[in-house]
Amino acid sequence: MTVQMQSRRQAAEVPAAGRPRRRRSSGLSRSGGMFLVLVAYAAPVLLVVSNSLKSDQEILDDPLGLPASPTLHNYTEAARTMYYLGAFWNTLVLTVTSVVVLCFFGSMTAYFLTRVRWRFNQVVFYLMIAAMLLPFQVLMIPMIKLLGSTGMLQQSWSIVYIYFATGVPLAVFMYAGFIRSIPREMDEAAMLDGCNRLQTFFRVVLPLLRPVTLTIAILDALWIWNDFLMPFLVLRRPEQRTLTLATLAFVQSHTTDYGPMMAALVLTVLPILVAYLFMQRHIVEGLTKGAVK
Amino acid sequence: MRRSWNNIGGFLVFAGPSTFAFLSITIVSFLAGLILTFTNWNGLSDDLSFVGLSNYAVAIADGQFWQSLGLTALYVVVVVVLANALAFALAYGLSGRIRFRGALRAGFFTPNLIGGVILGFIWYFIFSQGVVAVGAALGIDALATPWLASPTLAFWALVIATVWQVAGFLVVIYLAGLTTLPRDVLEAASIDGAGGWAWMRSVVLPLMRPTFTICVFLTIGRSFMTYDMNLTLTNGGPYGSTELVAMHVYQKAFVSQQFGTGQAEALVLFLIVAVISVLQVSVSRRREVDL
Amino acid sequence: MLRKSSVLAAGLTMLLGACSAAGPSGDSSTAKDGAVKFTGFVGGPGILTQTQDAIKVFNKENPQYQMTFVQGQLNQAPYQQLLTMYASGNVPTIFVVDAGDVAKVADKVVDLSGEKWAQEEYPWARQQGAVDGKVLAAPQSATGIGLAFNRKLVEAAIGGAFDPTTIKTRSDLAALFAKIKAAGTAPVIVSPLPWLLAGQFLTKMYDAQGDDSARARFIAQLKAGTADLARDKVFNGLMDTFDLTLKYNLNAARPIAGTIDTDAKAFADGKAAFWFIGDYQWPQLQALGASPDGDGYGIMPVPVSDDPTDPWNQKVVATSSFMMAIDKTVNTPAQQDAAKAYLDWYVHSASGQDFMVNKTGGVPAYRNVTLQPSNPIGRMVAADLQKDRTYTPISGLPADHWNVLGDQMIKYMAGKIDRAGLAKAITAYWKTQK
Repeated sequence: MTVQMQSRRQAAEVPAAGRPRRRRSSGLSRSGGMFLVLVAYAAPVLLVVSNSLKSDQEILDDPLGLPASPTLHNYTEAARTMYYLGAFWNTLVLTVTSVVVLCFFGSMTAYFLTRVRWRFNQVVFYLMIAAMLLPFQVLMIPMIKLLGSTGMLQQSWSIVYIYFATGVPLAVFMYAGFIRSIPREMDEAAMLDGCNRLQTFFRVVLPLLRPVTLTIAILDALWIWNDFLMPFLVLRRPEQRTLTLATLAFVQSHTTDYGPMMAALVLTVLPILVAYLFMQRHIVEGLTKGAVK
Repeated sequence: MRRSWNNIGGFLVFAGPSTFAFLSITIVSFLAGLILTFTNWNGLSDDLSFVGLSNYAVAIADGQFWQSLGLTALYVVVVVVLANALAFALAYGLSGRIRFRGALRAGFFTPNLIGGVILGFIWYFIFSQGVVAVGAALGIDALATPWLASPTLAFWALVIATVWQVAGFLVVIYLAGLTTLPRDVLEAASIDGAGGWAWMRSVVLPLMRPTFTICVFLTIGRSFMTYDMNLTLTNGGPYGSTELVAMHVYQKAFVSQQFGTGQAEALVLFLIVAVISVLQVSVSRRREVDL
Repeated sequence: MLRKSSVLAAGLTMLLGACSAAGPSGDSSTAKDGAVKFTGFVGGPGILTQTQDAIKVFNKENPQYQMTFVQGQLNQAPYQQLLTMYASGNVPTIFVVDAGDVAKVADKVVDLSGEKWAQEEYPWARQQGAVDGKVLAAPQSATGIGLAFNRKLVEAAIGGAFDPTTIKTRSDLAALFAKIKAAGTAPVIVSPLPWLLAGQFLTKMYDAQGDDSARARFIAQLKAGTADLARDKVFNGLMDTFDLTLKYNLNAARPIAGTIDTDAKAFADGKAAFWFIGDYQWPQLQALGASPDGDGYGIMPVPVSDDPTDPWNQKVVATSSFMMAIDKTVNTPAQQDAAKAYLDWYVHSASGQDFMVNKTGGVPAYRNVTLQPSNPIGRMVAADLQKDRTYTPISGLPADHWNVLGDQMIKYMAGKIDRAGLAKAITAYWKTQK
């Protein structure tokens, strides 16, 4: 106990003295260290990229080595079988629409459920949290039956609705955690200025939610971009296929076309990586704004 | 009275669409699934009849089910600890003042981009070809042993792959949590040495408790449900020794074609996970720094 | 009480089943130019692009139909995927299913007994696709299972031409293995794969009991718990052969380390003379460098006794790779007819046969198809079929038989259980089956 107290005091004193000088050098050495960690952490991904440039036989012969004579053959093969551009477009539309719907309604729901003390709200909130713990296997067949019987599986838009229904608990859960940390006084001040609840939400609270919105958007985009089951069930025609469906075409029960599969994987992952790089500036910006509060 | 009308109106506007979608898909499916546990439906046929509690009786008598549940409990504990420790360390290393922060974050984010089923195949490839090749090249016998052929090593292969995947997901959340901390707090902690570590323990970690609560909650849920990775990486093998409970449930329903029993086992699993999660959240909420 | 629950059951049945009867609207089943649109979940492992190309050819040659390929998740058994397809109400017009699962979809598929190709099927293939005497499914192709061999390696070891029919007993096989080993090559590969070991190897303990009625009697005894495996001649004979292959296994030092990919590569690279597998694996072997020309590869039966007159030592397993059936629950009669036209095209047209035999290396399950398979193992199976040197494996094993007992076989390979333990596990498994 005393040790802890001591160290806390000691630590509290350090920043005042040590901050300005130490910052630059530790920033550099730390990024160097993190780069090393990154190489180890990303090794499986690097392995995929390296193997995507080899022939199937070379992959099995020498899975770890660099490609002896790099070839783009796998990429042309993958792009041809995948109908890449079409699949890319389908996946993009599906992902963006679902994520927007999820963030929009998820944040509103979380706001109301956390701000208004009402027993019914609690029931809904805990029901949603409990649903996050349901093994999907429990829901799958009844859900498919239900969707099939209502004709929803014949409609490609219904996949957005399904993502909304199954993804909203996580969004609400994460928004709720964040909203709780925003002081109620801010809402009350806005209400005093004459805003109604909707205006308060959109003008005052929603802008503050930007960092968590971006986090949720990333997580949901990843999930939907990579989801297999729903597109598999709903989007049956080749011209509706998503990238994941197309990639899995190379994985089969007695044999796997490793080369084209890895190339397909790189082609699937690349767009979302670019999107992340592009969005990152906004994420950092959003995060600093959130931190100022 | 007036207040509750207000509440209803507000609820409909703010939470109406979400709640409706959630109830109409998730809850209705859950209830339909619950009813199916009392029937002998085989998953395909148009005929079914009620069989009372016999599916539950079979589920409770299914030794394999309890065995896989025990294995899963071990797996969950290991994954929760390792994945959260790794993710927090990575997020912490990536926050505050650091050069090339954007590039580094993108780099650590990359593994996260590969989805479930495919990821399993990649790890399968790594453990069946890659690790063996490294072992052979370096002459390390422990590595040259194909991991997936040994029950113990296959279990750890599964743990490594899951920790790797889940940590990538958690880093995003920890990063969001860390950036809500006041800047001074982080910078003080980034000083090397004992002072920094003590600061971290006494100030940063307590402030991060809400984020830990969320992440641990998510990790427990996710690792109890691990299915894709289990199927594609070890496929429960060798000889069923790494069959986690979610996979067992799925196999029961779809491979053994005992749909009602599989569904009943899944519900038992749900109850267990729900109890554990409620305990976890209430215990850690009590310890959180009150906001 | 009973009545109440049956009313409830009927209601639930309607909720679950009747809804799917709604099906696709009439408009969506015909294209603008009047062609009948229908969907096909056909093909199989390793022949994805070939299947897609074949469908293009079919559509071109039959402008009145427009078939769309449905891609499956090929790491799952077709029947598992059918469950979700039927649940969703999105059922392909024509789909593949394992021979053992035909009976399970019997009330949902079209009776094909009157089709022209049904008269051309080998009798065993016809039987595999028939339920209660009605032909419900058409084999995509035949496939032979047994000890695939690399002729060059065997002949190098014995110093002369190799005639697999000279191996009439287990002792003959043991002598051959010993010679191959002496020549410095691994004699055989045993892959630790549940579907292979319990789905295709262990099944011979039921098959070699005798004809259908003898097999049924044996299964009934297993279910009743009265079969004594420890003293069963066939089981012990088969396990003696299994022990022999394990002794000479390429991976004997690490018996359960192999994977389908590493073992295929080892066989294609000439690291071992024999491999217990089926000719369905040929597309991968060829992709890994095995040459389809000449008679470089072949296949022979797994002997189960030391009796040179034992017929079970002389025949390889011949079964259908997948069976194709046509849905009648959500697909319109016009679509069903279109799918029938596809089957007719597949068996009777030049381009259909070209797809069946040349493009995918399949062994025809139809007598009218005279093309020779493009792969040497398949050619040997085709020849065996014509000479009646094949037998059909037992049908109707429980759905998880391969999975549960496959794990036990691998335990046995790893030395975790002995033969008595395996027999006990098999007996225990069957006792839980109704």
